[in-house]
Amino acid sequence: MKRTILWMSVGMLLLAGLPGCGFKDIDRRFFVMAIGIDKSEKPDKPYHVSLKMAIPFSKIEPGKTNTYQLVSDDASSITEAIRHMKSKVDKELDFSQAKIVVIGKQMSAEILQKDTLDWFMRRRDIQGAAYMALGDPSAEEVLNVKTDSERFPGDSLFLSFDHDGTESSYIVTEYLFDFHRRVTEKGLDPYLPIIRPTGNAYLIDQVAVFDKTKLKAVLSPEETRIFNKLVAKYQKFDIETKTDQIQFALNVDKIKTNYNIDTSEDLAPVLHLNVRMIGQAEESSKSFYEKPWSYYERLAEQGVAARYTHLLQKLQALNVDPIGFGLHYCATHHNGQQAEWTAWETIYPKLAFKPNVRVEIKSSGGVK
Amino acid sequence: MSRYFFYFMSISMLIHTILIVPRDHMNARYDGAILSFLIGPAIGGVLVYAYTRSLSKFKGKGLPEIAAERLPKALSLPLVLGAGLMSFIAGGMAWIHCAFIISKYLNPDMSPYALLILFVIVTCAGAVQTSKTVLFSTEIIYIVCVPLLVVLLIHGLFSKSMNYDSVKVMLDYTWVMPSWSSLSAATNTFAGYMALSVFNRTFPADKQIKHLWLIPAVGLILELFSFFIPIGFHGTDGVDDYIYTWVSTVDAFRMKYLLIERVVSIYLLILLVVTYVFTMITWHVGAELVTGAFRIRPPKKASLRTQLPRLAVCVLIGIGTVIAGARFDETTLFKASSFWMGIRMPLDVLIVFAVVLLSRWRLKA
Repeated sequence: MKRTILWMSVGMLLLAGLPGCGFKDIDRRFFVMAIGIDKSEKPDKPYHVSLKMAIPFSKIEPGKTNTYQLVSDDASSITEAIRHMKSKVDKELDFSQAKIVVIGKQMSAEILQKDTLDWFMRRRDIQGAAYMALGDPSAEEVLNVKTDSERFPGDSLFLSFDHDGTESSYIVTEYLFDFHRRVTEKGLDPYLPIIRPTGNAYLIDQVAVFDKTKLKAVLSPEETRIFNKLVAKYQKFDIETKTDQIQFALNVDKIKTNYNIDTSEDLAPVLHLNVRMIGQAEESSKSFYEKPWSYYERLAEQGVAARYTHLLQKLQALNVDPIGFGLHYCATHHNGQQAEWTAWETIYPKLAFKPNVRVEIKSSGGVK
Repeated sequence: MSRYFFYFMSISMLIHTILIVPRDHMNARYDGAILSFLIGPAIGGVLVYAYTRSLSKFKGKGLPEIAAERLPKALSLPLVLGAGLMSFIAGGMAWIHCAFIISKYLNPDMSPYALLILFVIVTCAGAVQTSKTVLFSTEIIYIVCVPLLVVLLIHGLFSKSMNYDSVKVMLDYTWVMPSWSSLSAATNTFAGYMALSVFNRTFPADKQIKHLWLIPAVGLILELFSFFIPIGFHGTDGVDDYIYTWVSTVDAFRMKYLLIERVVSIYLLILLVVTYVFTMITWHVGAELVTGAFRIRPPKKASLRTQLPRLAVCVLIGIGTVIAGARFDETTLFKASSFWMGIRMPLDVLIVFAVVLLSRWRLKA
């Protein structure tokens, strides 16, 4: 018995030798919520890095507890900017809560060169599942927005992008790891949603498409919605149809998309895109019971198919492939990846698109 | 009792597929890694079958007793000692890998050597317990951890971010002959059966281990998952940029409704615990084999005094592991572990072959 007590006390004494540092208390930390990278005017210090840091509160209240501190700095690399920023704040910077990376629009060409993205991939505390977006006109202005509905700084951006709060078909989501994949993968090109600050709110309804080296174009909000269906397999959509006789809107809550690339004729390769949408009527200028629903379904299908073709042809003209047709081609043909890729490069410019849209109306809503 | 066989087999398979092997296979992904997934389980399955079936002929005996009974001392000593040291090295490698990962992602303020020292102390304490205690604790930890790991794997498979086109592109490289290192890595996934050289003592001999076909099947599935899920997430070329492929892949998961949104922290803790179990098993086996080679048999009732030789061996190897961990950096560690797997596979085959022979003939009059 005595011996056990002796051993236990020796064990206790050994515990005292354990190092106690290595962990900073939570009130000695600044939680970085969002990181912004802009291009600065100084040629020797090209990176303008901004950090949005949360100030902790004991009680959470929407619109009141989202005060933040925005710190920014110019430097020749991101690391150096962060190092220098540490001298501007009184607490340890903690990046583990940084869930969004905003790139300034001026910076969009540099982000594709590896050294900018590199910092985010190399740091262990930046999460791979962080969101990425393009800030228009600049990342700093996006970070400097304080919305009234936020519970903590940056909250409204996180809610928008993970479709947990608002479910908008205009908001395209992009993750850091996915962006990195798209930068390296053949036949799958990167894209970024664009955030535009509007006073004390955001507008996220555009998407920028890239090839492997630079920003190629910004898609309009209408194109962005179709883009979201194709790239992110987003399920919510609404169809507006307008003819001389009738104008009606359908709310779609289920979309199934698949495509195949038909190269049986060498000179005229065709992409068959099969889309099946199931939805219900939300608004109509006339009673929906006058004609069989299949009549309205056909009307809607024509409109949607035209919009799909328009977007696909636009992407083709830009020679970008964010949907991954090239990768799909390589995946479905098996005669050596290199040969497939060179074949695809000649196929894509002359590819014809045949969208085959099927709309199914399952109800006309609460009235006839 | 035979379920315990599946516990330590699958712990060993998990450790290999998520901790040790991915880097090797990612490097060889265009050079025959995929074919090695088909050949590896075949070889591994044959070895597992041969080893379990021949050991089951010896009632309640471990490798040291069998070798002492049927071989002259000049042959039995190197066989048993070699098997023991191999088991030790496998466990030590896993700890060094794990210490590097933990110090990089979970506790960057602490040096990996300090972590390694703590890990090794805990493992020593676990490894000197009796075989039954080791098996029982394996079961407990297995039931707590493995379902979570399986949930992560399934989440990866059905995630929207998983791009199956990248996976299909990789299938172009199926029929490339595998290199020795990727083949040995795929085969080593099944090396857990070596633990049977000690645990055979606790298994009742009148019952054979059933459902052995599960081992190559589960191993094949795990290897395919651990190879293709990172590729589906990071792309065929992008996956090469990451060092610890699986940590980076889990970092890309976001499970909104789990306790912690960023699952990688849970994953790292599970990894730590599973690695602990793995090293506890391998070091226990190692300690029993090394002391058994010098004719020290396990006592009926364990106490500090009877376990002292085992503790001494474990501490010695533990010190060796810490020194090795201090000398390795990441690149040499990966080179060392793929070199080790390359020489381990033929040695394993040798041991299995020896035991199969012993189960039929005896060389000692």
